[in-house]
Amino acid sequence: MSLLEVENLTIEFETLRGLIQPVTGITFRLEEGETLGVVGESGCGKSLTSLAIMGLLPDTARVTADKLKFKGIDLLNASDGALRKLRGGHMAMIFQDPMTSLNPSFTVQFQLDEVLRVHGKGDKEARHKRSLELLSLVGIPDPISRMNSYPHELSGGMSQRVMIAIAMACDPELLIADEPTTALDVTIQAQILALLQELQRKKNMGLMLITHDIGVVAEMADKIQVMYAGQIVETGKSESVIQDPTHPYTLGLLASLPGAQANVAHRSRLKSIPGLVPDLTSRPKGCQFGPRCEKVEPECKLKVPALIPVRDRETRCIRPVGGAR
Amino acid sequence: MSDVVLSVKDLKKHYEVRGVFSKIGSVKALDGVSFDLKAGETLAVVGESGCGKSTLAKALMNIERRTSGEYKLLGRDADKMDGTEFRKTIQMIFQDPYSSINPRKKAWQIVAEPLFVNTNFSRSECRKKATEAMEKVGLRPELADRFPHMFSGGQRQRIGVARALVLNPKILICDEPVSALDVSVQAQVLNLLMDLQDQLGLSYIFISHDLSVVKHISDRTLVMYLGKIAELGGREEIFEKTKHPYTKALLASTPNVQSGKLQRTRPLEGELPSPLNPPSGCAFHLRCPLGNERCKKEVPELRLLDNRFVSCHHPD
Amino acid sequence: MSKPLPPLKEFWYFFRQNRGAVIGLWVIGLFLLIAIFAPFLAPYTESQMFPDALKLPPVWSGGTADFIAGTDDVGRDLLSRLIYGARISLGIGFMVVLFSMSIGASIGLIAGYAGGFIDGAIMRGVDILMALPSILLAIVVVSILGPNLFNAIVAVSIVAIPGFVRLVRASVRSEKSKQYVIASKSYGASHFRVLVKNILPNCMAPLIVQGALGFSDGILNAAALGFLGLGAQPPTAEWGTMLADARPFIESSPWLVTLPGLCILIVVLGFNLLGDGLRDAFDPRLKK
Repeated sequence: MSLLEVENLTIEFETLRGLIQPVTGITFRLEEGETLGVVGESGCGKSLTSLAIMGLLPDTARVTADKLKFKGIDLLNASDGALRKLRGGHMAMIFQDPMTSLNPSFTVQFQLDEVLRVHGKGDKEARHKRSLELLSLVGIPDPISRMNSYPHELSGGMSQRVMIAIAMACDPELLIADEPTTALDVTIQAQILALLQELQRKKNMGLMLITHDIGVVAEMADKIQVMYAGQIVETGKSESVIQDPTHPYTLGLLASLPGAQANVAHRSRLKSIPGLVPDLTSRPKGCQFGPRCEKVEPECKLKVPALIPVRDRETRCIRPVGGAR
Repeated sequence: MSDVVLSVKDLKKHYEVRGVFSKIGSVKALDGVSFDLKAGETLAVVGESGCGKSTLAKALMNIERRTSGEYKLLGRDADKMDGTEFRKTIQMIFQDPYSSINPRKKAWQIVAEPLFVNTNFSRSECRKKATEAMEKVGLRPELADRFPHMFSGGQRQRIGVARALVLNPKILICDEPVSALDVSVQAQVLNLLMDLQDQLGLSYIFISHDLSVVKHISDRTLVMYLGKIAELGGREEIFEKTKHPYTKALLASTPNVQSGKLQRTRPLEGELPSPLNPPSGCAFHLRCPLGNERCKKEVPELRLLDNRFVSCHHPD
Repeated sequence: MSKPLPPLKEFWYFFRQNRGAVIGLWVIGLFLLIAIFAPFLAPYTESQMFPDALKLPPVWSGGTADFIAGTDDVGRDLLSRLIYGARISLGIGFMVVLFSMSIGASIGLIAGYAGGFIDGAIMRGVDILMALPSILLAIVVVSILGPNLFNAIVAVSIVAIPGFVRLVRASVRSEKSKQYVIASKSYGASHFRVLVKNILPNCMAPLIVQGALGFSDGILNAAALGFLGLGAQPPTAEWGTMLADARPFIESSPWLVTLPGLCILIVVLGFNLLGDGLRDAFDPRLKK
């Protein structure tokens, strides 16, 4: 039994211009102690997917799936109470903007204590002790005085550490991190990523790391999942996907990153992907990436290609590229 | 190639912090910054938030008053230049393509704004020049009458570039011009900036926090820490033969696509100290792996060493 | 990236979602038409007296078809007076919004943009104005200027100014920090240009909403002044004044009080519904 099993997850919204499906047919698994990196550009559905798993989407969203299971528990049909117990207890999430994810009106201590209280972790004294433990676990210097700080007294990096402490409060088996370091400076980003790795190793958590930065995924993840227009276009071992992509979108994404290839000449023109992400209300026929793909063929427009195994991963393309290595 | 188009000497920008009744202290956002920008060159300014790079942009654009220091544009004292002349020399591209253009105006009006303010052209002439500038940045003339919400982020940033170009300036200050864009779009805008530089002979001051972008497009790089220059030099000096421990830490922190999964280390402990109450001596000494008693007491001078400027007591 | 609708169409879509707002719009439209075409719609003029038809009840409670809504204590046709009254009340609302919005918005622009001491001075003045009960303040102003319709409009406008000042100041302050304002400074735009051509258009949405709500406040306050004898003077067919005139007959001829009161209620409600609908349609947070 996997820690997290997702099969054919689809999210729909009713909007003023009709029904849209920002996420269609997502299937993946996450094991204990494993890191899954989810990459894609804005609007590809990576954040929605994670919110659907946590059951945090607004009521206007319609979520359907053949399977959405956490440790064998069906998340789609679980009662509200059961879900609440799972959330924060067994699965936790941290967000991009640590400054707005903490409630500005309460102290760090109060916010930590609240999670522990909700999940019934001991009496007041035990919770206080646990709160201190958590703050030192996430590397906050001088935790005793920090307990009484308000969020505005903390820097971005410190706030994110507190968020992580809150997420770790009940020793979750699954941690979803949605762009956890995007708002932070590089040296602080390095600290937070190192912290996440360390915590994961200690607790053998499953980590789902959502980011737009392929560099972060390359250094952190075991598996990578590239998303485009609400679909997984390529998924596999992160090293092999990044070194030798099979989907033209992954290839294009890597080529447009300066510094992704070792031998790019100074000031040479970067490869970019022409065109725009498809409008969700009028998706292209067939392959979603077709209209922007260099190697598009008439066949690509017939139907949405299935995820097929190519080399050591799966790709959603009928003419996979690469394979030099 | 070697003529200097912009030079600053000992540029300072101090903000006074006031309490209810009295002055509490001052924040030295820029504390003695000196550099030259040569014609056709790209000088990158890197550093983390709070290092003073955005203040530098504003001070150079006369958006913020400079506390002290010498500022020369094309060999002339910038303070003595008349406003219009100044603005025909140096212009700026902003970070956020969403908030940097007025949502209630048509594309050509946004681009033409500097013309309305600084020239006597008629409305139709302004429109013609604005559409020309839009074409230069790859926006078709038929888009001129659209409102910003009909453009994508990348196109909006192009509008911002066209607006900066419409007065035909020699120097562009690019304040994080691609950091709000998706990677594939980021590449398009970077290509555009490089093309424009080649075609129009522009000089760029390119402010960024992304070292891989900087390495790709800059000729020289200036690393800032807490309002001061840590290191200033060419690509090879900064990226290959790094001397300053802070530059090294920045490079080590930057995620590398090529690296493969690795056990991350923490290249730097601690965070940027409060600029209101900076540490004594070298501002970096508390986080520096090489920091010692001397660093605590003595402020390191910026000195020329192996073809680059560096301010450190223990350069490698 | 999905293609957005043209702004007007999108606005209409969201406005239409709000049933009440659409009803409000219809009500206002209807009263506006009545006001414009009053001479053609009203059976008589507002001051024409019929000495042999005093306090005649409306047709549905035993009156005659000649005077559908009945007549008042000096034999004037109530329906005609109500129809002409729509002109006056809507006129008052319009003038009040025009005065208070233009003055209030200008002051708010200056306060928000200048900041510092000027802002502080203006806002403390506004605080003082807001600390006084609005109708009391209006009464003070009218008693200084003398009771007539125009002075009532001035008084009610002054009462409405602080709301606009606060609103515009708040949105100017949030717009001021946006990069497009810094950009316009960087290419040398004058303060006036930055403020009027760049910032003001982006503050219009809340201003329009407040304007619609200001209409109803204006009508209500002016009617209250009229009722107290400090606004429009008889024989002007102003709804509030009509209410005051009819007060002695509230038991014997209840329609004289009920009908003008109902008109005030409906128009004020209409503007409030419209205002709420505008707010919803302008608010991007509700659009997701």
